[in-house]
Amino acid sequence: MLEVRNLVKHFGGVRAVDGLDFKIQQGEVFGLIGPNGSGKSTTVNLVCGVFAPTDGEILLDGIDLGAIAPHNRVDAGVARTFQNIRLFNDLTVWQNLWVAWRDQPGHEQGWVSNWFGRSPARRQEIQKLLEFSGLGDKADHLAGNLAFGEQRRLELARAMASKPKLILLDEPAAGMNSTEIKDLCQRVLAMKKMGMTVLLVEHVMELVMNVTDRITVLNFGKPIAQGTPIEIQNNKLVQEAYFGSAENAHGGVS
Amino acid sequence: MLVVATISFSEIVRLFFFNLSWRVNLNGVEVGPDSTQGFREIRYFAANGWEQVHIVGLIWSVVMLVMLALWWLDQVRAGAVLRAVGTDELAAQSSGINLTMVKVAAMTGGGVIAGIGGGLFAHSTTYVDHHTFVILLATFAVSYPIIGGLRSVMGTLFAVIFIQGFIIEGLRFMGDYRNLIFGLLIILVMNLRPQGLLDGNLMLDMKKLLSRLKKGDKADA
Repeated sequence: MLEVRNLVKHFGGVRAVDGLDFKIQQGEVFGLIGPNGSGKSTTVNLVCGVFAPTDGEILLDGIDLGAIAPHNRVDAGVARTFQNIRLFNDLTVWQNLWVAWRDQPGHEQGWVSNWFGRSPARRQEIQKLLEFSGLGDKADHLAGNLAFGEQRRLELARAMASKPKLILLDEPAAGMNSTEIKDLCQRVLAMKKMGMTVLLVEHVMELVMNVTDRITVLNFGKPIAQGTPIEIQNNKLVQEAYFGSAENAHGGVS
Repeated sequence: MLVVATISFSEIVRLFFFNLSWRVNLNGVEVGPDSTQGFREIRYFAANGWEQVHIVGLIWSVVMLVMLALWWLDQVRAGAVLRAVGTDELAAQSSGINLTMVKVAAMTGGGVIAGIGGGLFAHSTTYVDHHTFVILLATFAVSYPIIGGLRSVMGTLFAVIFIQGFIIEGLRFMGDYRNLIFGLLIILVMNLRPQGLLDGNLMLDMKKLLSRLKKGDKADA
């Protein structure tokens, strides 16, 4: 469904992403992991159009995303969350979803009622999504006044509000305690069950290893390994990228 | 940045009209902008026998209409989108909002309101010239929402009434010292309440209070 071909992004002399290839299948949870600065977040930003790639192609269901303006990629079916939470803090919780809202295909409202209407049916749909996200009773609170975990859940709900085919999660577990991570695992799996495809960029292995179907490991902008969570855990190159090579560990102290 | 650009643009427009002379003969009278003399003889109200009270009435009805329109805008999705873009452009774009379209629409809407205001001003003073639209006026215009609350219509109206009514008119006996007080007010507000006097939290609290009062009324009845 998402195909990334020879993706390259240079910032001046820094090769943040340097020849990345991967394919995500419809309905899978795909993990993108790697040490700090290995180009994971840059990849997310390239897919949703925050940066333009230096070279390479990003195809969604065969359509070149590079030719689509960033805000139109949402209608193409890509939604995301941010590493550092970016909510509309002085809107209420339900209004946050309202801004990003896209009606079910085939049930779209007209231009006027989309922008200037207050359809109660839509408000109910939003409430349903809030309840799914465990925020049902917070609909009228200001987003900026929510607790940290609730803000993370709201951001996830906002991404789901646009009915995406592909959802990009940029370190959704950052700053979470282990209870919250377990809850997040359930949510990601529930999203998968609903038929969404997920690209998960994450450091927290407890989350990655439990929810992903396949993983690509990045180091210095290049993919160094690809496989199922078990395969990745046993991969020598991956262990070296994270912990340093065995030679250095034994003989490196002089 | 937008504030600086807006103020510079207003100065460009001012200097353009400072130099523009374009007189048209209308029913034997020369009318139109006459460079330093400005655009004079806008006498629709006087010619039709309007009195001061009528003009004041018209101005406040227009203010009320504009306030009503802005309040309505805040109730619909377009208003939420405007606030979203104002809070976090990147997040808004990632939620599928066309930033350029929203910003152009917002500027256009602001321009329409400012145009109505300018028209009323010209008619009530019977003339417009470049002296009126110096940077000081732009500074005042920018300061109203800063003091009142950048995201609140009521706050801005409150700030206009407070600054124009109290500081400019009420303290007239203090002469130019008023400018000092005005500057002090801006410094105080930006330090003590950078979000302005009326912000989202305060508005929400007031809304809650209102609905509680309403419920109380119903319980009584």
